[in-house]
Amino acid sequence: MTQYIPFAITAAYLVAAVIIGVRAGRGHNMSTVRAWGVGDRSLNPFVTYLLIGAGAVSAYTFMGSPGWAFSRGVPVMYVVVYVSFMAFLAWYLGPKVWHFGRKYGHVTQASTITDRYESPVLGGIAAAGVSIAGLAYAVLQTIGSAYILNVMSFGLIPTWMGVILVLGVISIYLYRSGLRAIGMTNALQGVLMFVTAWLVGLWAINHYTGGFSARPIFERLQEDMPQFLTLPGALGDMNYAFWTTSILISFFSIWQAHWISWMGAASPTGLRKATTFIPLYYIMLIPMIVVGFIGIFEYPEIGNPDQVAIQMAVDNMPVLLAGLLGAGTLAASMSSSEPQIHATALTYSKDIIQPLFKLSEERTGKLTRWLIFPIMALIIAPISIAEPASLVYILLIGYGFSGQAMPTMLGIFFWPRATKWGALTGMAAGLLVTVLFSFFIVHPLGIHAGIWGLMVNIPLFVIVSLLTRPSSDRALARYFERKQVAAEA
Amino acid sequence: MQFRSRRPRTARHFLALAIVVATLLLGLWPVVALFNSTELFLGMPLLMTWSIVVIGLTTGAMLLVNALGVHGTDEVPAVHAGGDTQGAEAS
Repeated sequence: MTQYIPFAITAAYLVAAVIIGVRAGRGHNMSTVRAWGVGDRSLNPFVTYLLIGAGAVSAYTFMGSPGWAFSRGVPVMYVVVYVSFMAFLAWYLGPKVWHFGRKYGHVTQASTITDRYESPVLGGIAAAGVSIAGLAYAVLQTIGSAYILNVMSFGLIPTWMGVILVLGVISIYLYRSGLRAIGMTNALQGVLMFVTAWLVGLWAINHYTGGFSARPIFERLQEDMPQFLTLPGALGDMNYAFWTTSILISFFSIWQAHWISWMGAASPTGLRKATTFIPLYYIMLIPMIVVGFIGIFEYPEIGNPDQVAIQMAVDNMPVLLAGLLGAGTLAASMSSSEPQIHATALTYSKDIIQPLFKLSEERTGKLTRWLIFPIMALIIAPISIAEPASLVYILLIGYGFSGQAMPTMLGIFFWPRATKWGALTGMAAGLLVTVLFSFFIVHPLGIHAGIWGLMVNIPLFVIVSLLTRPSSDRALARYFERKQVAAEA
Repeated sequence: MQFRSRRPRTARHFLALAIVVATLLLGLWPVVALFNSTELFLGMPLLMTWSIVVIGLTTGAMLLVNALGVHGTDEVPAVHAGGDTQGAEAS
């Protein structure tokens, strides 16, 4: 019976998440977009810190990062670098986005785009485009969650049941409490993930080396397989160009869910404080990466590298620690899928359905939280269960869109001369190039496809903007300072 | 009506931008090439150790710019009272 203790711990996390998530909405009228969508802008700096920090790392922490360390070696560190750099965007842009929300009532990224460019069409396209990435990401995380339940139950919970169970649990507290549920459960998830990663990592190092230094592992790699210690890595696919451009394109991508998280902070000062320290949270990736390096020697024949940490847990770890890893991985995947589901429901209702059907704010508010059910039932669940091979392509297209929206963001924060036609033209051309270089001529010269897309996108964005009429003074005045031209003598 | 693009305009603003850009460059080529070695430092591959250092430097950069008091405007734009002919024009 002790073999089911890890499953019991993993399942206990689900119960805890429901309790915390449901309670999070107390005292707030969740029938309004402001409350359900941005939590009434009430999240304190600690919750904001973990909402953003934990939301960014996902099941990658416990599966992808040890898997990459196992198969490639040191190239895995590019993720550590880019998630840290993404904190710069939250730190610099977050307070501005917060003000857009507070002063102009924006609740989504697409709302700001629509307002700045005076183009519901551009806003709708942005909403649809970023939702592709968000939904694909949510599907991947849901598959990860179902996998954990399957492994921890020794196969008693098949994947399809795990998908339905996880989505069902999320739907309870997400419907009830919106962004506040995500914030509070992410606070629990964030702490759990941080503690678990260190406990598992230190246990694994001690188990395989007898001490708490990872040096013996890397000394052995120096002797036997030095290709794991340097770029381009054991698979030879991470040269300097790809390291650099992969980090840059990830840095340039502002996810809708992150935008909404920024809007949920209680104050811009608190948001600034929280985001300053977000990179330090990602130290927790390091012990799990070391677990992956250990797996090179302990599980050389494993079929799926992403399973190396979980397999190590099931085979060797004390049941309590294995249970924590199960709970931590489940928490990680759920902490990343919830914001995407929430953001998609919010943007579909505010940026597509409301303008299309000219709904009132009240009706939109009531509709928004209900949308999570068809999104989960008709999109996420079936795709998670089917797990089509095309999922990775859908994800790449979605990521590509997020990256190509960067010039549009420049026009919101930095350049008043940007126009909707410049944004649309650049985005369309950039996305075309990104798709071409993602699927057909893959990453030419080792440069990420998204960067090639931006090389076409940005010049077109600038040229077409300069050739077309800017937004009205009324719209621009919301985002930029006016210049008073000195009167002539 | 003319509008100012948002860019550094004072020495402190330029310094803040330089701090952020320098930190970004520390995580990219060509800097990472300096650490791309099989040597170990603090028990880990050099590039792995350097990547961890970059985590700390990122927070350090934000702390430094916060201390400079020029971390970018938090407020929504206000009407600019004085005459100023610098910056791009939205014409």
